[in-house]
Amino acid sequence: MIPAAFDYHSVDTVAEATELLENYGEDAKLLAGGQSLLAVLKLRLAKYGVLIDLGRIKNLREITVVDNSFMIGAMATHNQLGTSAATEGAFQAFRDAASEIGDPLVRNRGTFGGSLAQADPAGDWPALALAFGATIHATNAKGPRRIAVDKFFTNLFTTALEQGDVLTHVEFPRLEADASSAYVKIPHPASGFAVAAAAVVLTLDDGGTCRQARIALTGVAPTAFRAREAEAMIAGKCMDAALIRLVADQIAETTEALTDNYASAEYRQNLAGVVTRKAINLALKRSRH
Amino acid sequence: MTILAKTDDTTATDAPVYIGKSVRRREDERLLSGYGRFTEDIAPHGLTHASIVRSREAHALIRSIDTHQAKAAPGVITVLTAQDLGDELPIIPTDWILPIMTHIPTRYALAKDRVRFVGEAVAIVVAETRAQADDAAALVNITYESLPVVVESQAALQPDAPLLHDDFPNNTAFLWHIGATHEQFDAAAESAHLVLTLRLENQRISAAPMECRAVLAEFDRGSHRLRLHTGTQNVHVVKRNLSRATGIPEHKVQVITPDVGGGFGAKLCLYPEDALLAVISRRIGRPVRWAETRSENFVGSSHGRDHVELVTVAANKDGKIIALKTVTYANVGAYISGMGAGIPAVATLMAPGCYDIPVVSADVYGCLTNTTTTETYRGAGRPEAAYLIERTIEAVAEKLGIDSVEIRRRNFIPPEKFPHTTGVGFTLDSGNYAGALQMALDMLDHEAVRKEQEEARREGRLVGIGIGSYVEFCGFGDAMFLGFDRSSWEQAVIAVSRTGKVTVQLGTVPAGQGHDTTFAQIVGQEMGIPLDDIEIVFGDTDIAHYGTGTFNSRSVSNAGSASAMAAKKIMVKAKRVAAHMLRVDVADVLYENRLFYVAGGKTDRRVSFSEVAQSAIQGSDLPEGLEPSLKEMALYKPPNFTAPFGTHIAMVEVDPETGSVDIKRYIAVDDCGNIINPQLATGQIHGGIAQGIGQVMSEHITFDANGQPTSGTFLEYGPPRAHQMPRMETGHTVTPTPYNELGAKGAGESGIIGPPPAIMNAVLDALRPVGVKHIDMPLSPPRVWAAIKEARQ
Repeated sequence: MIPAAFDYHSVDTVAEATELLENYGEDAKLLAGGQSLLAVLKLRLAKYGVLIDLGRIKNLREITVVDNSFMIGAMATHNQLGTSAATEGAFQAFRDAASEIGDPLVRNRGTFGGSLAQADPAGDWPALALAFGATIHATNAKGPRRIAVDKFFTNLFTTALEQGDVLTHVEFPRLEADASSAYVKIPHPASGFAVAAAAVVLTLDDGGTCRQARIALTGVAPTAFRAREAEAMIAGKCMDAALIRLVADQIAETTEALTDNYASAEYRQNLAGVVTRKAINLALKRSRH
Repeated sequence: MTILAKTDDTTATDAPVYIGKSVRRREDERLLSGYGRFTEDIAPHGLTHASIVRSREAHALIRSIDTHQAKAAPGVITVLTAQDLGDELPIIPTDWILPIMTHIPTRYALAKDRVRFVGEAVAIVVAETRAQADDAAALVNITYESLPVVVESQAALQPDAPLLHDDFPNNTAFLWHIGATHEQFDAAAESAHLVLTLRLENQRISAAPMECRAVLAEFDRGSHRLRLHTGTQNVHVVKRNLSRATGIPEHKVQVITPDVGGGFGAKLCLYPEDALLAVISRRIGRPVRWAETRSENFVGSSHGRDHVELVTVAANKDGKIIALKTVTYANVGAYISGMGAGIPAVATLMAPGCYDIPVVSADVYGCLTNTTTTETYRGAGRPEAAYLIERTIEAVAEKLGIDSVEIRRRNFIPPEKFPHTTGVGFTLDSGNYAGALQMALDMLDHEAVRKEQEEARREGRLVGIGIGSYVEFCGFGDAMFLGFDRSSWEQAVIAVSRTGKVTVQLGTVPAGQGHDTTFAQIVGQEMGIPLDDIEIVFGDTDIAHYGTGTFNSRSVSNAGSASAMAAKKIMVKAKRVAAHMLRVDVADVLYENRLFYVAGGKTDRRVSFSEVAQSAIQGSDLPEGLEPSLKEMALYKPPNFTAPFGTHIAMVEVDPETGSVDIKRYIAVDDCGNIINPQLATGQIHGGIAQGIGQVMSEHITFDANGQPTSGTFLEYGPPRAHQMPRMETGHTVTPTPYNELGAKGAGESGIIGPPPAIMNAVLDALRPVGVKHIDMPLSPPRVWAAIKEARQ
């Protein structure tokens, strides 16, 4: 379990990283928390001549709160997100997710940006990025740019990031004060990755009618995805058990799920409905209404 | 100035009582504070490192192996293939050959011409560093010509299945039979009220030890001696087979096992890498070390179980079972590992379980497939047998509409019938099966819990209770009738130093069990000395000239008995020396609190144990005819196997939506005879339960149709994590074995036997209202969900 030899660069700024990426091209790979990359290198499933460690770029670790919105540095760890004041209240789904990623060692090393860039079909953060409407900030030698999360996850382990890009931070829009959220995951018994998980953000008005709902799932399909039809079924409606069940059924019936050695597509579809229902119920419970 | 003082330890306190006490593990401080010494920690001068190139094909002809690039890589000392080794290429012996077997498939340490499973060693690279060896291994280029693949046992026997070994038609390694003939079974079943059949899978699993295998070989060109460090459970078997495989004479081989991070049966035999490193060290004249990676462990270290069982049972209307027939398809893998043939055969010895079944017929087909070899894994045959019979008991109970507790009671071998010879001719030493069952039911509060279950069912919840009663065999006795040519006996050598300190040399080898503590307790008890004065040494063939090894929960019952016997001999001799020193007749000498004194208060003279040791070893003034020193050897040969038993009960709730199983209660009552150290015995039960839960709930080694492993990392393969474990409620009944003076039966494997039947039976009980009749292990949520869905359709 020794990786093939590589050159290691530790950089202090994003500019240094983009410069190295520009110089080394496809032979270079960014190293964030290393929780996915190092395993792949050790198994020699991948080989890079150069690793560029982003660990010393201090401002990439910051989580900044502005009003009711916030900005997560790409190098913020899972544990930081699980304990930050920024993830109290409406952003509680972040805490749900952070507490269930891997084990304490992984949570202290693994990063938010690394997880999004990895785009594991069973990763947790992609679902939250979608549900909370993230904007991904990336920089390359030509300068910074923004990518809407809806265009970010393009396929299995594939994102809209291009060669030379450094994912620097992720911005989340402000949520209305009365929004609530939840993330419910059914983990694989061995890996702990999501067999199915749902992130739900709800905004209810005083009468209990749903003004806005955002639902995103992960673990089920080649990429995390928004369940837009289900969202539309809820919007403007009064949330009751029958409606929630209807929404869950809709998701179970319409999702095109993956089959693997562990679970059939049929099982995953079923779970997609289960986690959606549970996440909606939990978000409702957390709502002030 | 130095004062010449007499040693004096006449201030001893109360006589120590160690046996039966939860003495804290003496080895833990060392192991937990980083002072453990494992094979990979040992780095002799001039050490080189090996990396092994393994087959990526499950079945193929090797067309060519190009090692040029690898040989030219930095730091590389040598790259070797089967062809390069020529006559030196070791053949790995199988040391358990059933009496019906006439030959075994030839297994070379490096595949010659043909590979038969993914992970088979094809070439070896030796370099100055491990990283250089790994880098060069990646440069070895092998061209294969793929052959058709078969991975499942029953499929392997089909006439059109691809053949693995030309000298094994139908891929049948052996056909073992024990007990009644099929005709006798049919005759017995004829009068039965009920005859039913089951097909059960006991799936393939991995021992997944914390420490993977590691080997360090040092061949000394001066003395022509090989010293091999390897984390094995059995240094003497490795030594003997290493000698056979390499041609190095036995007296020129020393095998040492330092600390081991878990064996569980997967580190019990000679592996190809052991022999390979030995011959390479001899070739290059330098020490060479190899440490298995986790990925290698999943394909290169033997797996456990992998049986398909066809069961036919015949019972009377009252639930009395009158005949049992089993046909087992045992997947032995691509070759036959050291004990691979024996395990499915011994499983048949336990097929009748705790029950008095007059007619038992058992067949085993040993099936060769394009998979990693299977081998002993904790329980080795008994978990398979217990699962088989306990599922059968439940099926009979359900069919007859009789409570399965009652079925068990009606069929248990009653306590007064021991020793009892079963329908397959195996003798069980002692037992009180109904007693253990009752204790477990009481701990559960069976009636109350059944009421709870009824209420839950009314609410539509799927709650179930399941029982797994078992009897197993431990303390491996003489088993030549099974072709088991390892010995059954163990030795202990006890030597006392001039200051009265004691060294105990053993032929058994722990892999984490706590022998340093238990054996000190046994010897300390017999000799009446503090544990701090006792050193237990093991794991070195130069220290103990022979041993049969640590497996089958046999160390305490066999080596422990030998230790107690050797300690007794020491004390007999010490008493003679003391009598001489006290100038009295030996019959008048008493011993207490490390002091020898004279009976009846005839004199207040006394001598301490250390004074006696000093005198015995100094040797100037000894009774006439008595040899000097205090050193004794005892050999203990058990008359037979011991038979621990017990009952485990699980209470579960199934979530029909997700198929997940929540183990709400887990009760384990085990009877391992007399207990030396309750905490360690319970610890063994706990660890066993965890592994048993692993099998029934989540662990499964799988291959695709091409023989490619699909469970080769801990992302897919799931031993239970701490948070997946229920609280374990443990209890012991104590039925000593009459076979050894400790009365100890063995506790190492009991824990793993109960969970598969108890939890599976509980889940099937929970799913009874849904109509689910059968599920195979593991109870993964998708599998349970699918069973519920199918039953509801």
